[in-house]
Amino acid sequence: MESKNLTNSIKKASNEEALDALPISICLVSKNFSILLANKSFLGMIGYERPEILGENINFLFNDKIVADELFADLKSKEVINGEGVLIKNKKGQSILTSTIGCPTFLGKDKKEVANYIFVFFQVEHFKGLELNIKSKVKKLSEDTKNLAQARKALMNILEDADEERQKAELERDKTLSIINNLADGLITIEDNLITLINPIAKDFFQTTEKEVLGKSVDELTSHPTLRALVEMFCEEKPPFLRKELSMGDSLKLEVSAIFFGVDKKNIIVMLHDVTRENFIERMKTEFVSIAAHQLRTPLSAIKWILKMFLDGDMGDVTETQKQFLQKTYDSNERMINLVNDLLNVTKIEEGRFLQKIQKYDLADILVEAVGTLKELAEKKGLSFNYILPSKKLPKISVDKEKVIMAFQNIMENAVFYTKFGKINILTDYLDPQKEFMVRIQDTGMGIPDDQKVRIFSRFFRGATALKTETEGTGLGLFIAKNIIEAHGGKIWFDSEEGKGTTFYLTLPVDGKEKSCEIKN
Amino acid sequence: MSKKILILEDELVISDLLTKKFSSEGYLVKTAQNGEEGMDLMLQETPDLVLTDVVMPQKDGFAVIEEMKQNQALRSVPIIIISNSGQPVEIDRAKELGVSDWIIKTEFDLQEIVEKVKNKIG
Repeated sequence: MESKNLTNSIKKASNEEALDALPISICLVSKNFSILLANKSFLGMIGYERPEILGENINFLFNDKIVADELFADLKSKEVINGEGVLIKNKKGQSILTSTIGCPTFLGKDKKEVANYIFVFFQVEHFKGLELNIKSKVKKLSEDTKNLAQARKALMNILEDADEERQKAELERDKTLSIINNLADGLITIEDNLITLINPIAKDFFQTTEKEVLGKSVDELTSHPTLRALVEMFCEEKPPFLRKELSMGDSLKLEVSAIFFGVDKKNIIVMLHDVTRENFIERMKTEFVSIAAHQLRTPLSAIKWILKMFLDGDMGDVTETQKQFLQKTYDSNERMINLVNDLLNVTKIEEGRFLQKIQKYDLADILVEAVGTLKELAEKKGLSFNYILPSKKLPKISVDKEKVIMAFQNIMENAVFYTKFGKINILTDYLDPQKEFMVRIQDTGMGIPDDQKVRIFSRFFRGATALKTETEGTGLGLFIAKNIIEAHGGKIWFDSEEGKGTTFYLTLPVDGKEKSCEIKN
Repeated sequence: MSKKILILEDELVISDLLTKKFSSEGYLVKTAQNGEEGMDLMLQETPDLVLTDVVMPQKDGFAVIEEMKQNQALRSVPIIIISNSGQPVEIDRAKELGVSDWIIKTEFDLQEIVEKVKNKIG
């Protein structure tokens, strides 16, 4: 008996010690809810001494009796209770927020009869603290996540923008490539003296491939079978802009337009336009004009002869009136003959076969022949006509005499025809460094209006003021003169002031040469 | 005795005018419309002077001239070319072959042509 009590006491004592050691509040109650056992933690929580509460009903602790009754009712029906936020009172009357857990214990193995109830109380403040801590940590985490999400969104936006830009750039590039590849003209680009692009048409023109050409330097290509002709054009001159014809044999003529830019003009954009057909058509046109003009000469000469016969009285007497009309007809016919002559000269210029016989002459002799009867004509009009011949000691010039005379005459005739009063001066200078002669033909005539100066050398152009004057110009005179002078390697230009006068300047190099490129207006 | 002129010209209007003019000046005029016909006439009867065009069907002016120079009887007959045009190259060639004048139709009156012929043969 005593040993059993002792054992029980020891058991009880060690149970109590164990319970007291626990940091959670535990209370054992009878099935009538009287407190049987309370551990240190529990006592500490409620602020009572053990003797004060042993045997008391645990419901005294609960603030809300209704809640307590509910909990107890559940326990009685053998359920485990878990009351969150249950308020209990301590000795001082302060409310403590707890989570209350209650659990029945049973007699015997069948668990039919309740023995006791175990109550465990967790102070929510602890939890609260933890919960707040966690809540704040969660809040921070959620904020961080939000920031991260925003940063990610911003990054995605940037990526999207970048992608959009890239797509746009690709689209532009594809568009440009498409344009370049579908250009009807050839395109070659040279950067830093290296070929960087050659489009399909250009490849076709030169019967070459990208492999043969891309990345090669302009110098390297001087040994390329077909491209050499093109690059040789660039080796010579490097003006900002170049337009020249390039012949690739009979079946292909190209018009080359090149723009030079950058340091040392090492960057070039070259456009190649197929003018084979244009040239062919131009030639056909020229041939047609040539044939037509030739054919016209027969009837024109017949008319000339017949009219002259009438005028000379070979066909019998003519009255004075008849003579006048016949003379007018004869003069008109002469104009037509001149026009046909000019047309034929123009066709010869276009065909590049204008300059014929090149020989050395004294410029003085040429000028004298050109002046011819103009001096008398001018003086009859009341104009003074002066010319100073260059010394015969000066070098002779190599020219087509007939054509140069024609050029001078065209300009001198204009000077005489378009000057009503005043003078005409013809001056010649020899420019030694350039080895060329400069002839100046000055008049005090009606001048050329500013808005017409540009077209003065065009075919069939006759200035508005000139048209008002009754002269017989065909409008081809200056065009022909310009071509003659330029074909000899010279230049022609003018100064003019409307109402004051005009000065034409012509230069002729001593060793004049026929230019190989065609002269367009 | 009247001088005999042979005119080689395929354009009838020109041929007629020349014939009328020279006839009225007292010359005996024969005409041919192409080089072949002209040669035949020349070989039948040697003219005192030949006035010939350059561009003609069936043997052009230059071919005629060259043939004349190969022919003993015709070699020394004076030749004047009457043409619609004249390139310096052609004119030089003609002069080398012994042609005495190259007249471009639109530049001369008939009277002037007559003068040239008179200068040559009277």
